[in-house]
Amino acid sequence: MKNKVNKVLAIVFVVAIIGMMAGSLAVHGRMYAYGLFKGYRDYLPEDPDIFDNIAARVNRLDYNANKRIVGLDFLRHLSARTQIIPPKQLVNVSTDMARLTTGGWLNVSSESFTPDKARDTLSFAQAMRDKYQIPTAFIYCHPALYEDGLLPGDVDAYDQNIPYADKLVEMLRSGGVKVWDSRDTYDGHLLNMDIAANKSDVHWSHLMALYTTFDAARYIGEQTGLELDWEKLDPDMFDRTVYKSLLFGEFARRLGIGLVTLDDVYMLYPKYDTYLTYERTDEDGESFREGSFYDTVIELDKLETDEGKSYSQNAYYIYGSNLARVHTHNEDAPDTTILVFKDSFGQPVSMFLSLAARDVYSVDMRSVDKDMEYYVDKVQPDLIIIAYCQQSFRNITVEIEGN
Amino acid sequence: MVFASNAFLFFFLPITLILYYLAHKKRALANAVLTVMSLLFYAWGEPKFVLVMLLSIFVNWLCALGLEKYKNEQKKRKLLLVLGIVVNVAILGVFKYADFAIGSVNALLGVEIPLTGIALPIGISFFTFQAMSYIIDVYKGKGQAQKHFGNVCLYISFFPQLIAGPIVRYETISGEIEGRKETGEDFYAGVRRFMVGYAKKAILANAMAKLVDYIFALPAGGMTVTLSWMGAACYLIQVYYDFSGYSDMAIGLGRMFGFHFLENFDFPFIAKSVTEFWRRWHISMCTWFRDYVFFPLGGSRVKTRRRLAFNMLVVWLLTGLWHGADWTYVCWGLLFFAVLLTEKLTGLAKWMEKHSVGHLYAMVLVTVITVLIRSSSISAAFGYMKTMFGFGGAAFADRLTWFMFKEYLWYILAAVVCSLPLGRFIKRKLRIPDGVWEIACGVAIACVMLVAVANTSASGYNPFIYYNF
Repeated sequence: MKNKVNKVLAIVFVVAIIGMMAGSLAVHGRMYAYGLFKGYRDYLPEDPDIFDNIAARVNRLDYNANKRIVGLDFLRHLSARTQIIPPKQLVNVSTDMARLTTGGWLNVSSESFTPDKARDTLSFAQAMRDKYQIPTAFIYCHPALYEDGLLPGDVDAYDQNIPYADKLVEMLRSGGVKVWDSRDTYDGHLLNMDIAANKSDVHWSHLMALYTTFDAARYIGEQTGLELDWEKLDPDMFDRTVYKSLLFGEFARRLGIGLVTLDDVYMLYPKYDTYLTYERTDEDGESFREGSFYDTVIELDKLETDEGKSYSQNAYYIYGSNLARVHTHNEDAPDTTILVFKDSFGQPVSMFLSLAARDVYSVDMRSVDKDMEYYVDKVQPDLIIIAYCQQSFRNITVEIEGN
Repeated sequence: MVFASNAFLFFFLPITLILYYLAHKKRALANAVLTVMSLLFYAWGEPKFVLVMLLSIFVNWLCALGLEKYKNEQKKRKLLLVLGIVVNVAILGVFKYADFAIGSVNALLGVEIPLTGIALPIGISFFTFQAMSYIIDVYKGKGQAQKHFGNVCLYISFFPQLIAGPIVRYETISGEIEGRKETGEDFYAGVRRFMVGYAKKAILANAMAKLVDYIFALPAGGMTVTLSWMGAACYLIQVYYDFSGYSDMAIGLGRMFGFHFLENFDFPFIAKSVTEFWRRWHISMCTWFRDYVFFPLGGSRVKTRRRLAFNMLVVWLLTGLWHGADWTYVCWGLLFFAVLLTEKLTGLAKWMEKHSVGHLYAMVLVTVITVLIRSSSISAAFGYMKTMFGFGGAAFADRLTWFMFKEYLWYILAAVVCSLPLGRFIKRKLRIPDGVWEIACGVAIACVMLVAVANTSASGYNPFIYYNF
């Protein structure tokens, strides 16, 4: 009997792994090929030798194998569901843990703050100042845990988010970089978790992004002396349409509907007249739009619900995908050019900034194979802004080190 | 590459299986497939280091050929053996211990000799020990030298055991390199064993790792006595599931390709003495040191206790250093030496093995000593141990302790239960018929494998302790 059971197990196993390979290549073959022949360059060090070349392709293949396999959503869902057997309260997602009831992210990474990455940023800022006389500012986008007392028991002692953020901000500021900390926005405007943070998703809400951009633009303008029309970013000058319980973010997808509250999506656009041109480059090519902020920046199709469902998985991206490179031109804004290096938190920030400066270029360094200086050289901005959340700051280091 | 990863499970393994079973009727071709795939497997992590491994294999291949050629010239044979061992030790020395030695000299003498900065090739301790096993076994006549370079390459670089063991001795599989027979029964059993190992690693070891990482990262003020014990015990459990899971996967993969490796773990947590613990833990390494170091030094059949202590000291110093180039590992080895010597000289091991209290004694000692290899320094380790025993003013427990216990309760329970040989006991007690039992086991293995794959696919957190040994 044991042999028969083993035989069945073996057949299921072999069919499953071969099926997963074939299915993944059938569905994502293009991306695997892209990674192998082009995307691997993201992983190359300076002056690569043949071994670096092989290692970069292997790393890219590994990356694809982790991100692009068939049934990944099902596997993540299963993983999350098996992690919430009572009395467990925390769900391990990636290297972090999230608490179910509040949706606040508890960063329990064992990697405590290491100053190297902050030093890299400081070196970059120094180099830009010395070589191009361009100031660099940092907008720190705090992940979705804003308030004390949200965590059960004494778990605050276990969380790395806040000490990490404190040290990061302090170190950058002491090195001369102008830093706007989104936690000051949260406190300053007396916001609350319900409107500032998503529960189904790691991201902050667009409302929180707007408030932060407003504060950051004012602060950076004051600190650098550059002309930024920050008053145009006053949230009171924005119309808002709230789509109730629309966003079914990645975290919720892992746990399944019913276990996490769906999020409201705030669509914010100026009450005043605007006219922009919007050029965008991404994997699908280049596109160009012109018109009001509403018509050019906002991607209404992201609000469409998933087929047969009442929610949307993509609603966070109504201000565009962070992976696209975008250039906005706004004749009504002061003649200031900003280059924004951003992640998905920084995406709405860069779009809102298009109302405060004439030219805003935004790049996610994860989607390009050039280094940061390449873009600085090309754009010749008056101001560089790095808008990162904590996780990105921990992870996106190569691009900074590359400079 | 690690086994518990998408790249291995969904790409490397199916491709290797398909290629191998397309070629398996021609032994030379099948071996070539395995060798090439093994080199690719090794190159996955650090392509450069394939050259280091190939150099080591080449030197050992030549040495063994020389040993065979000079069968009747003992002097030359001895010289060749010594030469081979020196080269192997030198490779280990340069890549693993050079910076440790320089750092120690710098610290001792207050000088500033620059460190070499040489990176550690993955699994160097494992493949070097296998390489030494090859020439020593050929020297002793326990296996024939391979004429074909590819066969030596396959023995040393065979991917299932390449980066984390078990240390497969040449005499164990020398006959199987060319003369193995793949059977359906072996393949099926191999898959089952692989699945069990994968689940051990991806579910239990990773969960324990997460808990252990957080506890050891807590500031001194946040630590309690209970948390410190939880951290130390869970670390021991993590190492067990990490390594025994990897060994299970290696043994299972070996069987899929017709190779039979020896067992590496035998329920170490039921040991009643530290001596017994080491008979059940990392058996391939322990027997390697026993047969290739301890016995040649005279073993326990020596005239004086002093000589016995010396022999054991050498073995445990080397065991500590084998695990890592750091004084924490040396200290770890020395502590085990002290405990094992005491057990041997006083008869404590035999007494403990007859009494239930032995379980507690062995587990407490092993848990406490293991703190050393999890700590960043000897002083950090002893600071941690102080907390474990209530010195330093730490509270017994707090709300965080309770919270963490609740969070990991199921994992800890499952880890403890699965580490004990309870299967047969349950089956006998509940009088479960064989067929029902086997089907239940099969279903359980399939389910946990699915959850394990879900965990490794969903989470980027997949530490692997023995990877760098």
